[in-house]
Amino acid sequence: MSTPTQDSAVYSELPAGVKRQATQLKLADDVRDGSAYLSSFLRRHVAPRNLATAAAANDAHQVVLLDTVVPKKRPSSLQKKGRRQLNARERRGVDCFAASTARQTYRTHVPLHTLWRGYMRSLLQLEPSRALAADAQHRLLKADYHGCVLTVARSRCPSLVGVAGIVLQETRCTWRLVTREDRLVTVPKATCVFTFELEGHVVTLYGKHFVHRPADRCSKKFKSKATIDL
Amino acid sequence: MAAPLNFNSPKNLLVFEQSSFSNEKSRHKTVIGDHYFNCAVEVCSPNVAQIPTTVTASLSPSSYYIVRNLPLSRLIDKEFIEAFVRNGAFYAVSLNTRIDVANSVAVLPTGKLVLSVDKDMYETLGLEGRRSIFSQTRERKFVIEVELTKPSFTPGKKNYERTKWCFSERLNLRFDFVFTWVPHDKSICSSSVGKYFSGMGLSVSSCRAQMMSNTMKDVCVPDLLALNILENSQDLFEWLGAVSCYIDSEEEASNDFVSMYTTPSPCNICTQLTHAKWQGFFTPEAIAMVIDEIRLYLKTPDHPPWASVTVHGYADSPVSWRGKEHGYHQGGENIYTYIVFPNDNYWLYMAVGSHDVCP
Amino acid sequence: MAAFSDLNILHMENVSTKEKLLMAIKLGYEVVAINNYVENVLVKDDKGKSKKEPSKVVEIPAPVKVHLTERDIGDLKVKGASLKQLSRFTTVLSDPGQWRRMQEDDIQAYDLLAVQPTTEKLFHMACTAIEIDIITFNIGDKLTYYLKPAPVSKAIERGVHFEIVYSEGFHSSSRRTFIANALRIMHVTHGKNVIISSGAREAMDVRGPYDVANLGLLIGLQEPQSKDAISTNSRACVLHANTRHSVKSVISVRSSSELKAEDQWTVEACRKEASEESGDDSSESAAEEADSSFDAARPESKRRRMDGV
Repeated sequence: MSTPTQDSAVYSELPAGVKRQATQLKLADDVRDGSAYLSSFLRRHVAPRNLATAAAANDAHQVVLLDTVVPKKRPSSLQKKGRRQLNARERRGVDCFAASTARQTYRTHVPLHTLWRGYMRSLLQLEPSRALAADAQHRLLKADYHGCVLTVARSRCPSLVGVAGIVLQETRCTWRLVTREDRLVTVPKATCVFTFELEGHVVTLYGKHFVHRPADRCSKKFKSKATIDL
Repeated sequence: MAAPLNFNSPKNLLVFEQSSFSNEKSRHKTVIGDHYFNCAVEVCSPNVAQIPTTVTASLSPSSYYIVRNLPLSRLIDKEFIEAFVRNGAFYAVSLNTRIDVANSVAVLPTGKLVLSVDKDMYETLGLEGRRSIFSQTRERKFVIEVELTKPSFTPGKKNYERTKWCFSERLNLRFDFVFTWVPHDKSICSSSVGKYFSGMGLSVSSCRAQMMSNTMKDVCVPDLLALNILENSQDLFEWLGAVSCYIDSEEEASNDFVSMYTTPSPCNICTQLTHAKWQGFFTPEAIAMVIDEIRLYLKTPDHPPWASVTVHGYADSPVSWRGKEHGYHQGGENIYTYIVFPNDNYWLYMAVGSHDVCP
Repeated sequence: MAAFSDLNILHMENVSTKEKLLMAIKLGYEVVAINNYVENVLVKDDKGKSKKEPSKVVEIPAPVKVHLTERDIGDLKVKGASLKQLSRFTTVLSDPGQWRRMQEDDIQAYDLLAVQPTTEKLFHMACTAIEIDIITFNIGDKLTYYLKPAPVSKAIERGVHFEIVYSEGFHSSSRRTFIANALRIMHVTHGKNVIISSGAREAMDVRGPYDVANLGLLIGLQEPQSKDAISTNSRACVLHANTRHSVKSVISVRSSSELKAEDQWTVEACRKEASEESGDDSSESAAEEADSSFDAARPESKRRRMDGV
């Protein structure tokens, strides 16, 4: 093996005997000429982004990776058949939690209230002259309040006192009501006491102990608390 | 194991000041002028047979009114604000309301309506306020202030309509008030405010200050010129209080089990000591006039060595000096006393209870 | 600050309760609780076991309400206040089985429930397990059990209040024990959830609220705590009783007829909606009648009303 010369740092030249028989061996021109071969070799095997450093490596004795590391592709998750559920970020993007204020009017939700009254009538078996049965009162804890006309009777924040409207949305901590003035109001449960009337019965809701998601309320076991004071 | 027993007297604050009326830095105008609600005035002076008529003349005619069951919504009526609140100094404080257990209302001459309410009232009334400075951690008392003279406080505006709704429809609040009005224009009679409320069908009664007078003979009176006031300021104030309550502070009486009060020394026997008390509703202007008359009287030839003027504020008023919050815990006193000397010097005492800001 | 309250005015057969109430009004109290004291709610047989037979059931008296005229409460009316009368039931807790008896309707009809435990175990049960409002003591006699901090803090967390009856301290024979027991209660509760009440057997046993606050200082309370003991803590106790009567402290239901005039506004929005709905229905039904008269000739066509169900 001939020792590498100053010019040919990366490779060593072909032996003289091979060179003499280059035509017979049908060696390509670039193979015979080392530098041309080198540049074509580099072009074939080195990623374009590393090509500049590869050319300089000749003089600089640098290491050039010839193998490009291709990151392993993660196996794709199985495609769900049918409708895919949106994740939380997509849900926020679609804006399905925010009821658009431009479109909400009190009058459009009055039928919802009528629907709710019918639902409560059948849920509680209401009779105006008789007191509400104990199990009916317990059913109130798990009932759905969308469509109920709630009034804030008492609040730690005085500006909320008197706010009344139809419940459009219930979250863990708040109720979103649409008032008669077509205003969408978000009322926190924990600081307010709410009232509504149903067939001759006045129900007072202590929001402080009602801070649960409506879905969780169905299975929740309510325990008596120390006080209803705000 | 035993808990430490607390036998201390109720906390209070006594401020003592020495100055002169002719001193330009003297605070007497603000001390008198900013103490809006005064229910009693006492004048005490040695070596005089009776309180001078000029002093009596400035206090006795003080008339005031008591209205029963006045709805609060009447105090925010546009006509009322324009006619009385803007055109004069309207003083009103709710009567028979104990501030520590119930709700108390006052209208300041600056045009502010102040309500001191408890937790239940605050949570149900619907007006924004702030926690009382005496119950920051406990949330027992709240103070609501309504600026009646604010330009935006007019019918049609949200703030006004909300206030009106809270006072009338939300909770139909009614209180008994003691009130008086000092018009800016002296040609207008101050009784027009009484006529205004009686015209609404409310029960309004006109009252005058009631005077009680007492002259004690051969009484031991402290010699204020020789007294070391800085050491004995509290003793002198106590002695003045004993005189006001007709307590015998003589040496023999102090040996009795009942009273331990003694006259601060040095003292000398005076032939007479006159004490007069007026009870009613007095404006700061009337008090200022009394002090001026006392000063003039002390410059006359047969003047006494000194004279004291004690002014009592309402114990259940929601404000004391300069509209600062006032409360009642074990005592609700907000009293000030001027001891006036012939050379225009004065000694000022200001006494407040535990639920009061330092005057 | 809340109104001054006296939550223990004993109702006795031979002494007029009205006189005690009038004295309380005169002294400035606005909330009083008339206390029916029944020593044992169960009947013991000869062997000492408790049993409850129909013929031997201890009859619990109904809650007492004293009728007062306008003149009687005149002093309070002047201050714009009125007297609130509550009913209270107190019994001595000497047997765990008594709690079951206390859950029946005749005792639950009372506004406030109080027990006086006799042993440490029953005191623990009163503090941690049972739904009562006040734990009281026979404060004139030596306490037979030790007050442990753990059940006391659990009771404070649950909203149960500890009562000190000051009329027991009037008699010189029991005064020392009264102060010693009161100090023990203060020490273990740190002044929290303590109410001071009269336990008045006669009108002269009632003391003024500011005097009672000073008495609180004597028995170890701090200045703000002593005034709380007759006002704010009593209010909290009454609120705890209201919570007990509600459905799991979340909901309370009552008839519309019980709603006071000043609270009518809370259901105005509901009523407006209901009246509009019935107004729509009546206008529809009026239209239906008109139609039906018009449709008399055509019985087949009937308008169906959308009922929202």
